Amino acid sequence: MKFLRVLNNNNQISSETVKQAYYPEHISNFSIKTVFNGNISYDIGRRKLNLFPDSFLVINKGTMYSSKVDSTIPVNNLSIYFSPGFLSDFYRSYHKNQQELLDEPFFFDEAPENFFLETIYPFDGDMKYNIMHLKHQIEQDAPDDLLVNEYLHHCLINYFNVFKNEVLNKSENLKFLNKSTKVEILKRLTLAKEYIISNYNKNIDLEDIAHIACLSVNHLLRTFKQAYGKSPHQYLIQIRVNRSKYLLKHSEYTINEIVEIIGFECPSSFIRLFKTINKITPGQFRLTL
Amino acid sequence: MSNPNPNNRDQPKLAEEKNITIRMSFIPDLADKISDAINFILISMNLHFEGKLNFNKKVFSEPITLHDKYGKTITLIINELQNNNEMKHIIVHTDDCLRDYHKYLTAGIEFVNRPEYTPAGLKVDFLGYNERYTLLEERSYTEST
Repeated sequence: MKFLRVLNNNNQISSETVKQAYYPEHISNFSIKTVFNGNISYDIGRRKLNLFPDSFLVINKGTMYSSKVDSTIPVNNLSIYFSPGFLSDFYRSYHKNQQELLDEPFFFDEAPENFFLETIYPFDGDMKYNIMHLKHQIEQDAPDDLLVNEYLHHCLINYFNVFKNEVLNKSENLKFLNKSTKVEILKRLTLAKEYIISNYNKNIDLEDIAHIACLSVNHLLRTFKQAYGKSPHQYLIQIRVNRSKYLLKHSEYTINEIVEIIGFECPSSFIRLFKTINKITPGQFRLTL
Repeated sequence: MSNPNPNNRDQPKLAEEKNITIRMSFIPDLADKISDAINFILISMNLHFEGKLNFNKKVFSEPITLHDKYGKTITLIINELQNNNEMKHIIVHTDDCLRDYHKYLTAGIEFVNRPEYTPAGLKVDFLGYNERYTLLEERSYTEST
């Protein structure tokens, strides 16, 4: 099942429910991608990302990428493609004062490259609310362009706030005086973070993560902790526990199956860890839903 | 044990057609304005009540059944809350602020601002019968899964 809506201003929304699909390398406008069950693999240059329902992916205009769904059951996803004009207008409304906006209302200001950092971000809070509402609207009704554009404008507001929290604020945590050093370190840490998120259920080690991030292990450990307040291992554990909560909530898997899916070797150590973090066992957590 | 595929069985439930419910909240200080507020919503949204609305507060303990121009049923629930210093206007609750903001705009209702994010959720204020109302979509920001 496939759905494509092209708005008058060339913003596009596509939604698809498929078991198997492969989209060879292509480019698109700036886009936000979400998946509501299962996962989708993306190859972006040498980066291999897996998108899960607790994250959204941002891909910049002009980036070459391919994507793949390979599942035994239908995987439901939604992508939003923003036209350059819409994006420019949003960027200007955030960065120009009222007088500048009045003097040059139709000036095309392309957002700088680092304004939209191409990576995986947490899919929660306002971004999740707005995209779920948008999804519901386009599935249930035929909303007019004005309403859809209102949702899309808010998706950009939400993205910008997530970007501030996940990138700008985190880079401020880094203890380097030179701003360009901070930016470069954060870019590399972002590679480390998305590698952990994409491979959370595999047996990954620090050397792998450091190699992907082009940082030495010591440098990675020191800077990761500065930026994100936890070590890469603690971050991996957090991802695994969050995914287990998602699966407890949204699937019928037994706890033993979930333990295997999230990459834990031993159910009892998982249950102990889950209880330490959440104050209740996975079984009790499922019963509270 | 079988090797479970992470893509199995975590399918989202299909969205079901929701019954439309309009919820309004007011504090005792605003009680004398609630009938105007109800009338305003009814007229602006072209909703009908079969019979005569009794604005005696007892009636608010029961949901009020309304119909739109297509005959679709809409339930109106009115809650009186304790006095709350934060609450300046009668609140019209919604499960999707942007959808209703757009719907009210289309119905000619005058908004005093654009939808904005607050710790309680997404809200926007509108005017009717010289009163200011708040359209509020309450959101929970603690749920991470």
